[in-house]
Amino acid sequence: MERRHAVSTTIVAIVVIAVLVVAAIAIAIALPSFASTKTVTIVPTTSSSTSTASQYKLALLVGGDVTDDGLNDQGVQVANWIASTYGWTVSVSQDVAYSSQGALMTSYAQQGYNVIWADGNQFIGTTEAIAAQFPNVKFIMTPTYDGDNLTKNVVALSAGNQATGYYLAGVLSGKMTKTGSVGVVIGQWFTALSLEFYAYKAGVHSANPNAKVYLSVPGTWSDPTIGNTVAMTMINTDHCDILVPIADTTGLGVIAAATTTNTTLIGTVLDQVVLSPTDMMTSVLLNMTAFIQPVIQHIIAGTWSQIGGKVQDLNLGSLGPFHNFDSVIPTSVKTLLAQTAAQMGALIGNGTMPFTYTPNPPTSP
Amino acid sequence: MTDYGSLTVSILAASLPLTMPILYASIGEVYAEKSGVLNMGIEGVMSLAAFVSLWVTYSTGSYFYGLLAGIGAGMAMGLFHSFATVKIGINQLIAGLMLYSLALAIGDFGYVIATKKVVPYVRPLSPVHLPVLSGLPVIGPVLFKQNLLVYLSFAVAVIMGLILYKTTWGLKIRAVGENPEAADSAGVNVNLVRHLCVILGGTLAGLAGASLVLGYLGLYATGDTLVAGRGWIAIVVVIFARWSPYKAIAGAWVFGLGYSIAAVFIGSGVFSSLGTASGYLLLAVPYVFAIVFILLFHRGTKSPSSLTVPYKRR
Repeated sequence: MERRHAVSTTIVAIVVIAVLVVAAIAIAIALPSFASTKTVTIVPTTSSSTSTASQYKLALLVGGDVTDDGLNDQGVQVANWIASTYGWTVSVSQDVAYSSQGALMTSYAQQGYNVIWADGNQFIGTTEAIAAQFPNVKFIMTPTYDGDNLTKNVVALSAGNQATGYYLAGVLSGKMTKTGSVGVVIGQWFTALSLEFYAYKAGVHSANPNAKVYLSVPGTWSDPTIGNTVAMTMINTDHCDILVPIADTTGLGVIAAATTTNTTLIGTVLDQVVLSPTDMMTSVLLNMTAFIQPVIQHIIAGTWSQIGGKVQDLNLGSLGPFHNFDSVIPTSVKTLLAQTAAQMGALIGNGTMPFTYTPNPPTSP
Repeated sequence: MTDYGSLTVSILAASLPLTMPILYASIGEVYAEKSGVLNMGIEGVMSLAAFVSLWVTYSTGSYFYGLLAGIGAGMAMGLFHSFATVKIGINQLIAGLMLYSLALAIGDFGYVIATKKVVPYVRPLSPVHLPVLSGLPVIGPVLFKQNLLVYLSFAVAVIMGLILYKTTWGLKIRAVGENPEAADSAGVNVNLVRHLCVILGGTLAGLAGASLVLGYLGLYATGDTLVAGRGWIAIVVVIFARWSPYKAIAGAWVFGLGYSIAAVFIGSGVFSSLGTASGYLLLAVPYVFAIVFILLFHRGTKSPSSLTVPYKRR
């Protein structure tokens, strides 16, 4: 009797383990984030470019996944655009952990990928190190780089490339705030984000000198619950009626708090209206294609030496559509924004639009 | 000038919703562990339940259905864990970690599939202002202006404590966890009790995940960033609480308070003069509290005698 029971239990155990293994494999295939890194390779069926297109293989590495509706999503969109426009073979790795960055880049380089694009500031150190080991592979670093350690096979985008967009967002916020208090939530304080914050602050004060610009730096990019409570405090204690989250998943909590309290939001990188259709006034867009497209064209044309080893200093920031707020924002404000955008070169030149950096965030107003 | 009085009220008021998911999950885990089964998969179960409850609420417009769906998802995961650990006798630690990965992956998978172009968001439940009481100074906004799921979490803790310590059912559960052979000789179906307790633990973990979405955030995030470690903390709370639902209230609140202090101080910029380090330091507050509590209450901590030991009738 006991033996029969043991046999039946063993059979059940084997069946359960088999089901689990099959389920795990199925999930791993369908959603490779079940493993630490999700990789999808796109091999174009037709080449819209030249017959040499097939010689180009690009690998994109991002730290999160497309559900962020921000930097990661944008990177994947641009990679897909490269595949469809230039006929390149593109491999996208999402959810790349710090610990896998080096191994993944090395693997791509050894597999014959001749262009590796690391999209996220967390890749900077690894990219510098791996690029030195594979001089024949070209590396692209985004969204920002403020170091001085580029080898000839690396091109990077300068810090503060979204600052012009944040200045305009500041002008809009200064004109639209009713309480005279607006807030920015930044996941961690980096050079690039410092430049964006001070540009936003300058924009606010250019339109409304008496407005207060609050700043919170939670120190995490990945805790929406903390983001929610931080935002609630800024809304209830500091009376912020416009919030600007630059904080990835922590920022989702900010967006949730703002939506719950009907507080106005300004998104970042992509048009983030999808995250809060009712309260997202606009987004500071990052025109990544304006940087990537010339890089791709230099690679194809064999003129990499013109950009290799250099940091590209570009202004890629602009304001997105106003959606629900289109009828709320006065024409005079829209005119002011258009005029400011047109004068941006002069505003940068005379220091009105600052490129200010501080190693530590400023104290509250 | 910082108004420390209103800041204190803000911290205390924000601490209760932050306590809620940890409390639900820890009470469920108290029951599972009291019966002798460890469930290390709580974090993943909470995440899965959060997605399910969000999606069902978003699709149907009904918070009730969403809550039920989240609870159902937790119950299903509890059933899975009880089958793996009680029926088959798989090592509980391994089974729990498998459950964590599986539940998390299913939730993320569902989110990615279900949200191709729509990002589901539901407005979290509004606070219920209890008449008269909510108007009291300080304790009014702290205790009596919370949403229903917050009130429910404390009620559940008290009820589950009463069941565990004042009923025959509770006695059987405790007996099964301490001495299953003796319980068996007394006519208690040891494995049935364990099955039910583990399923109950999963159910409450499901309620914890649903409460995080419906009672606090209203959204989902992939890669275990939504629950963000609160399931693991619930397991720690069980040890703090010495396997008592009553003490779990205090244990969960300590963490809720720690999170609240961190977030409110960050939001109000109180320590921003400390520079970039202030955020990191403040985020460590809950864990500093944990270490202090361990030092204060480590004596006399004793887990159920047959915790993690499968029971086979001779």
